[in-house]
Amino acid sequence: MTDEHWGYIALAYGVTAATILILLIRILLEHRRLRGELARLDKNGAGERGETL
Amino acid sequence: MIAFSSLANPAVFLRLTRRVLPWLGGASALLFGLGLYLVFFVSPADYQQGETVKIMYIHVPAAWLAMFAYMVMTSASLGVLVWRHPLADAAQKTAATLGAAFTFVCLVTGSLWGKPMWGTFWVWDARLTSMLILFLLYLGLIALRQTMEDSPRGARIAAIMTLVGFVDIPIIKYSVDWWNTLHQPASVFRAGGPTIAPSMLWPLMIMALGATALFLAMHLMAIRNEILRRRVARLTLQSAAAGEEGGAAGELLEPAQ
Repeated sequence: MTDEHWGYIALAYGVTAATILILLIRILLEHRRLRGELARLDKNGAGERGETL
Repeated sequence: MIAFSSLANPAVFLRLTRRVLPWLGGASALLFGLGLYLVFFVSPADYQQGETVKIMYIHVPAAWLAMFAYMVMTSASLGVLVWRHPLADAAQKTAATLGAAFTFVCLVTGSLWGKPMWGTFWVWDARLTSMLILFLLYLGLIALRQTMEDSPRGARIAAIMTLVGFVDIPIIKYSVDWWNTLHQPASVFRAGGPTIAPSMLWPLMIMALGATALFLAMHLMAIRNEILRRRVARLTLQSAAAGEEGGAAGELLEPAQ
């Protein structure tokens, strides 16, 4: 697999992987933060189980 | 329609997606694993592009998903305007970030393919330009949502803007037919069938399916977060209001000095 353009190929896959990872990590961290806030509100007595948006 | 309206209950949506998400994540990982194996160890080099053709296996699915995300946003916008469905608003809002990310990947990988193949990272070609406009549309819609509160009016404005922007999708699709472009014409979804050899078409389709499963998984996760975010905002407001009421009542009960 010798090709003079492997740098471009590696960069393309690297940028794609990095973008997807950043998105995923951002979503997961946001989920964790929101779960924490909901738990805190529940603890403070504000936590009626709201089922509407 | 009954099943759709039952999903209006966020609790049902959260319960259902909790069950679906592991399957979508697993399917995406499996398809990507198989796809990458086929791309790097099985599919041949192109007779003109050489190994650079491997960029196509991520560029093409990213381009499809960039447009698919906008179609999801358009459907959700109709849900907002016609049925005033709150989950449709959450779906519309959260798809914008994902669409912007896939459009970004499409533009960057296209540039990285263009430099060795065309001799330039960018040309103001109809396909490339209409794709750049899609990226700017996504950024505009994200900015619009950030400047507005989670009000029904804000949701309707964003939905109308999304519908207006939909005009770019057929332009992207048919730009290679309507204008003389440097970008190659459609080679998979075209009348007369694909023009790609099966040894390259299969890895491409598997990568595209993996990317679609990933998009759906991330979109469901983002909608779940949006539901939680709105719930936190509502409870915080209720808690603050209760605190103020308590404070005011306390002041009234204070004996006059």
